[in-house]
Amino acid sequence: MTLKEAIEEIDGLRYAVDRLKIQSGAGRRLLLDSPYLTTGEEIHAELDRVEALIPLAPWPEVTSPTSRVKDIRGTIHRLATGATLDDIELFEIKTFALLAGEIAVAARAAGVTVVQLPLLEEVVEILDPEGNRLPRFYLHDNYSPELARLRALLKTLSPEEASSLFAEREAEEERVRASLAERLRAHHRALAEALVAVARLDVLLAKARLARETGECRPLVANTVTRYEGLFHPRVREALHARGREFQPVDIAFDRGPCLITGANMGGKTVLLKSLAVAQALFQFGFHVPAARAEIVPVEGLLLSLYDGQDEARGISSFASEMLQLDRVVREIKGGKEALVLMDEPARGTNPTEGVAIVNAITDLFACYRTRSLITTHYSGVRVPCRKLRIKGLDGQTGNFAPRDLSERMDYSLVEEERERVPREATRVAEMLGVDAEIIEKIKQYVSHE
Amino acid sequence: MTLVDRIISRRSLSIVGMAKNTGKTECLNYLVEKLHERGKRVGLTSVGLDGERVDQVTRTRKPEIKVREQTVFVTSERHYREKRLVAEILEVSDRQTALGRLVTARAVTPGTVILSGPSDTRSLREWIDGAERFGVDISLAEGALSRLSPGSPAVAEGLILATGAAVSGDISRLTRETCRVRELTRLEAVDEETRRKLSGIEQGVWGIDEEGNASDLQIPSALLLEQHKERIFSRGVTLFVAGVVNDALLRFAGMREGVTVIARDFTRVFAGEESLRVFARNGGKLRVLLRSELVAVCINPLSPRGYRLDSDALAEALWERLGVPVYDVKRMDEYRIWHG
Repeated sequence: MTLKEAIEEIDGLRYAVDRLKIQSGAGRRLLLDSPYLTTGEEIHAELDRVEALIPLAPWPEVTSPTSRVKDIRGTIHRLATGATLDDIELFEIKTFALLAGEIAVAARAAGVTVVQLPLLEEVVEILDPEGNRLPRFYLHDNYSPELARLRALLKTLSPEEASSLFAEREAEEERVRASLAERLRAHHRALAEALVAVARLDVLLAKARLARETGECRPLVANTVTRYEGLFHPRVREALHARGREFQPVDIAFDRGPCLITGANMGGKTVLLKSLAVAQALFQFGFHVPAARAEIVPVEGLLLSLYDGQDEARGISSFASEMLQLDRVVREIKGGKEALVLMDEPARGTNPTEGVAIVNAITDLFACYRTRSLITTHYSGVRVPCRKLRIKGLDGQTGNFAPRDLSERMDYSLVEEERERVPREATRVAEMLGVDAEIIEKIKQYVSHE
Repeated sequence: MTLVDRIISRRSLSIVGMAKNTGKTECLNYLVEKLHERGKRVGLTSVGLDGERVDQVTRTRKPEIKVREQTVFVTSERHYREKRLVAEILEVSDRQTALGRLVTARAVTPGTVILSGPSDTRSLREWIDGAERFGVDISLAEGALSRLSPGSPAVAEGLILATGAAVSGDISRLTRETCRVRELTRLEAVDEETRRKLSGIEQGVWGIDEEGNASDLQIPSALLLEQHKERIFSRGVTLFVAGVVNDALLRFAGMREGVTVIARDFTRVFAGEESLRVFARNGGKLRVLLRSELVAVCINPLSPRGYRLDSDALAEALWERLGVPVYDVKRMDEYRIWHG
């Protein structure tokens, strides 16, 4: 999986990644093509590279020339395949070689070793016969005495007399271009490597800069338990800030096996799962993560079943699409994939009798396969023995308040749920929202009958 | 005073033809040559449709412009490869056009090239500003009076209008037509604050409230006014029309008192004298975002169909009606002066 694919799949990841200040087109392409890293060693090494650049970020000596780098991979490819380059392509190679050189010099001066930037001095020499190192190009008279002779002669002739000589000049120019391409061809690998290296440095530097600007933490690679302190969802937090409100960060730790999460409506269960998905994905692509502290177990796959409200728009029953997704998840698990599974209210749309059976079955299966999984649910009566966490919600809150204050009063932190208890959160929320007293009273009666 | 003397101290100038064959290219060639002789470094661009659109719309090729050593010009990749001169590439833009990216280059030898500059107003402005980096003293932009053109020739400080027998074989009609355009170039510009607020808007008809805030009236174009009549004054009596200001809009707006209509620039106003009068009679004001001074009128007395107007009589008539210096493109070197 590439980062591009992960962004399509994981809600909120695009926002987190778009905060990177990538300077070059080549950098953006490299970033989106970044592979999902599966081993702790790879992730650790990438985080080390980012860390080495944090003291230098934002580093204008590198970002400024990088922002002028064009993605000339098409031109390099044509050079490699034996084509004669035209003036525009030669200009591109020359300006790239000059910029790559500028970046390499700055990187060396700063003692950067995380990316090896080849110097392209010989390329510059080929395309800079005057040695003035300006980002400009034309077929200089110096390249060929014959070209110089023809051009000088053309200056003295009238347009009528000159017309036959034009063709001769053009033929000579083409010969010069062919010989330049021939000489440059020896450097096509170095050019391609330099382009990748510049893009690589661009991406790493952007990651370092983001880490520095946001203060988000470098995650440690863990072996058994994934543990976050102060986990948050960057996009949701930003949206709350825009309305003058705070995001309450959450602490959570989980091992292998299923973990059920319960809690009131509006209690932030979905946001919790989305935060975990974004953080895990950022970790697997070698980013710092939105938390105060994090130890994360690398997984081979991130399997999500998060309700996005899009099924109706796609014309599929949400239950059908959920069941098909469940099937995909189960196949992956049974295929032996080390995964993190995040499921938001499975069987939410069906009748409670079968709904609770479905949740029991899923939990049972995940317990058998010791699948690292978090499952949110409203159903009580899940009998499979497993860890249960509850979002505190309105616990300990008394009295009524305005509906708009409800989310302010919510406590989003998690507590271990030792024993099954009769849930009352939905009634509380309805009550807080000022729903008709008679209906509230009736709800309470029915709950106590259960 | 020669035409070159009139323009030499300016930073940017657009040369706009009222029709094909009005001598715009000859005027441009003349200025490039003379400015070169006077030691000025010239920048050359075109305004409006990119090369391929011009080919599609008019079925004619854009003309080749004669450039001199040190002239900085911008054109598409395709036209760059077809140029007939030696040039040094200075910059290749990121933006793709139908004919490839835009290449800015400096002529090393004299020769000819087809210009194909940035098509929208903002990029054009950026090119003109950026040309100073390459040592350009004065930028010349060739353009057309086209409602299809996304770019405005009014981004340049000054304007030369090319007219002539190709517009009409009848001197009085030609004078009237040219005079109408001249009146439009005189339209007052809005204040800087308003210009800044509106210049990013590419389409639609917008209502401007008393605080100067624009809101889209959801009328896609003044051409579709009939279907949206009831909405047009919902925000007040000041309207910004990003597209074409036409007869229907002005007549409609003229039914109400004290309406201000803001057009992007004079090339967006396609309305007859009668509509302009109706509009003005009720206190209507027509304003523009961008205004450039009409510096001179160039005439080509020769029509593409072969007949020739009397150059002196035409120039005399235009000077009398317009009060703007008139130059005959076929006799530029005569330094004719058509004013006192």
